[in-house]
Amino acid sequence: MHRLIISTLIIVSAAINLHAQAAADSPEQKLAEQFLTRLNALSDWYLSVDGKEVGIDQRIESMMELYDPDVLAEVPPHDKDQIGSVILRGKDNVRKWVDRIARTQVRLNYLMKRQTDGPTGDYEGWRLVYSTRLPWGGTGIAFQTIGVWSLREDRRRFTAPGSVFIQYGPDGKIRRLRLLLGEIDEVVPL
Amino acid sequence: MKKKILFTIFCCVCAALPIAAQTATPITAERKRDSAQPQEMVLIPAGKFWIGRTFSIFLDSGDLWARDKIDNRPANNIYLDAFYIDKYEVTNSDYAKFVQATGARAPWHWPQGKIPSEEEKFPVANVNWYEATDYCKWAGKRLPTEAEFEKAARGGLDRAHYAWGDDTIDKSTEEGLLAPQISLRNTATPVPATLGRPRANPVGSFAPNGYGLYDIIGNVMEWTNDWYDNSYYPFMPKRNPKGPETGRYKSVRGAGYADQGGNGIEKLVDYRNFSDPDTRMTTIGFRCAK
Repeated sequence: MHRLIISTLIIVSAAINLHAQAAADSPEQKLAEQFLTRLNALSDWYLSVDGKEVGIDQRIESMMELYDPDVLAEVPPHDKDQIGSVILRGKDNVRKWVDRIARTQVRLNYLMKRQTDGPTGDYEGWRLVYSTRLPWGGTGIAFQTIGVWSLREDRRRFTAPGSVFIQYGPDGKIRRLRLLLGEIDEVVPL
Repeated sequence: MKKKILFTIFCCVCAALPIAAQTATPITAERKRDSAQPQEMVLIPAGKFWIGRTFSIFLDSGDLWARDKIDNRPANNIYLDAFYIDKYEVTNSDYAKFVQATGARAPWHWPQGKIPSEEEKFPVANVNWYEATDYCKWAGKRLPTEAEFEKAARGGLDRAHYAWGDDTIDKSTEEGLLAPQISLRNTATPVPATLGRPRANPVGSFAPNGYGLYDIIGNVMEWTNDWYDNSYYPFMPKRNPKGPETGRYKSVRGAGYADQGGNGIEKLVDYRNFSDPDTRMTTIGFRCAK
């Protein structure tokens, strides 16, 4: 009897692991990781001894490769002198936003966060990325994130919880993006 | 003896002159200030203000409004130099002087090129952007920028929904919380503006806003100098923005007499509209700035 229970437990846990592994290897999860990797890489450049920003253009181009020319994006305000959603129409406006992040923020670290659910909010699901096939073709993905970044000018560090919603066209380019951040807090050393 | 008297008189005169000059100085300055103040214009002080919509409305939260239609967000905290703006919309009577002086074309709805009967004090309409610009130049002025118009329209109120203040919003209802832009108090004169009418009113028919400007919302919509771009706000300059360098449409601000129902967003002080600069409309007029 004990053997049967142990065998069942082993099979169930193996199945859960396999399922989780399959989810982690899914194309949708890779899309989400690709987006965050390229976003975080926007601060992955250096100043040369003569003050040139080496590698910044390549990082921006790498991020811009993800977008369709007619992309519509909704992103958080750029600075303390803005309030409300920023709607970016077309790739040129998205490029301005990406360019601004690359030149004004450093130590970017956007992480995927597990989805929380339930009335108490303390349940953490095993799925990081939720996805669906879009009726008009392509894929839609959604995931929660925690964003952390520092300002280049004074190195003050900030964090905010948020959500990302992306619609990819059949060609794999981003057609709709929503990066919504909640309340932004400054990270201060204790 | 005579020399002594002459010397004393000379000393008294010398002493009196600077005193007289000192007394006269403020009066002269006051007179100079008076002459610098353009007739029927209001000085809008230099400083920062929030341009655009700083609050969410139910159309946003319910995703009832296509995202790509939103053009008044994000709100930006921007600085403007001081400027003068007309207290009233340009009237038919004002415009007739321009037509007479320059030979410009009269609005098409004027019978035989004359002001319609008893409409001297009505805002001029059916003038396109070029004609409005020419009028302002002729008057030694210019059209206001879109940012100048909104700062003037706000009347010194910080981040309010309306040019006349938010006391007109009935916050006791669900609508008042979810859709303040449609939940105006139901009184005899719910808002001090010419809205929801078949035609305009004579200028100055309602109380002015905090800066003393009449009909800044309502009566006729007004041309501004800026080109319209729905993507301008995300990257607008933070000092004296003058709009995009080029475009297809010109920005039009302030609701018109025909605007009223539906979700009523035209009444919001930050509401943006636009029109082809060649268009002449019965609901679009203008005022000048300096």
